[in-house]
Amino acid sequence: MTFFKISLISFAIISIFSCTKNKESVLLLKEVDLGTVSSNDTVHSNIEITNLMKENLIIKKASSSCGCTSITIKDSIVKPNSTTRLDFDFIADFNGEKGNTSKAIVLETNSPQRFHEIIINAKVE
Amino acid sequence: MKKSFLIMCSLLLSNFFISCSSEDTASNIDEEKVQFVLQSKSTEVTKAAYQLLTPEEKHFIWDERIDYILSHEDLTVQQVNFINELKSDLNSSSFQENSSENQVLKTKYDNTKISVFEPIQAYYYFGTLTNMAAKGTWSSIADGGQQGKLDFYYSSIGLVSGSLKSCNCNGDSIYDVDCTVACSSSTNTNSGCGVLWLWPCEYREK
Repeated sequence: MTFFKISLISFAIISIFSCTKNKESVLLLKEVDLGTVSSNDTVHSNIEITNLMKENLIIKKASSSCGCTSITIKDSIVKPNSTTRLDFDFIADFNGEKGNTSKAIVLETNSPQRFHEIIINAKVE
Repeated sequence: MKKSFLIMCSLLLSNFFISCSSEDTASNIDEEKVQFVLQSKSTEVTKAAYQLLTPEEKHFIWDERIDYILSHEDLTVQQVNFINELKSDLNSSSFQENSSENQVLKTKYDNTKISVFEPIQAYYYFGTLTNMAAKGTWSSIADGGQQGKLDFYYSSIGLVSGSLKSCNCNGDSIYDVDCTVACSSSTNTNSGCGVLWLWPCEYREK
C-alpha cells in the first residue's frame, strides 16, 4: 500500500513537471517607427532580439508581408541571455505618393510564444 | 505487489512520453501555425505569416475555406461547379512556386473563368483569408446593394487600410479595386496575390 502511494505521488509530480516550460522567452520590439522617409527611399534598420530563456533560442523562419521588406538575421541560434540582430531594408517604392504605411515581419521561433510579430511604421513624404 | 509495480511503471513511462506530445503525427499540418495565420488581426501580419506555411499547409487553409464556402454560401449551380472543379484541381503541389501544377492552375483560373462570381464576391472568397464566419455570407453583404458591396470591400476585405498600400495585389488575377500601380522589380514577389494567393504581387493599390 505504501508503495502504491509513493508511486501515485511520483506519477503526479511527473505529470506536473513534465510539461513545465520556461515562461520567459524573448525580448524584442513589437513596433518600429522609421519616422519620415522619402517615397523612393530604401531605409536600413534593425532590432535586437534577446533570448531570456534558459535554452537556446532558435529563430526558425522570418517572413515579411511584402517584397518591400527584406530581412537578414545575424544569428538564428541565440544562446541564453544573449542578443542577436534582425536587419531589415524597407523599400518605400511609392513614386512620390505621401502618407503613412505599415508593414509586418513575423518570426517563428522555438520559444513558448512561438510566433512574434513586428510592425514597421513609416511616414512617407 | 509485483503486478502493482508493473502497472505503475507502465503508467509512469507512458505519462512521461505522451504528456508533452502535441505533434500530430498523422498529418503534416502544423495546426498552431495555421491558426496563427487565420487568427491574426492585421492583413499585413496574415500576409507575412502565410509565407511561413508549407505548400501542404497552404493547400489545407484554402481547401478548408472552399469547404466552408460550399457549405455556408448560397451559390448558383455554375458557382458550385466552379468550386468543385477548383477543389479537385488543388493539391499541395499547386502551392509550390513554379511547379507544373502551379502553372496549370494559374493559366486555368483566370479572370474569365472566375467571372461566374461577382468581382467583389470572388475577391472575398479567393483573394483574402478574412474570417467568413465573422464577416457574413455574400448574400447578406449583397443585400446592401452596390454601395454596400463597395463599403464591405473598402472596410473589410480590401488590403491594409491607411493611405499607402504596399506591393500586395495582382492586376491580372481577380478583382481588386485600384490595383493599378506597378511596383518596381525590387518589391515584386513571385506569389502571394490574386486567386488563392498563387499569383505574383506586382502591383499595388492606388
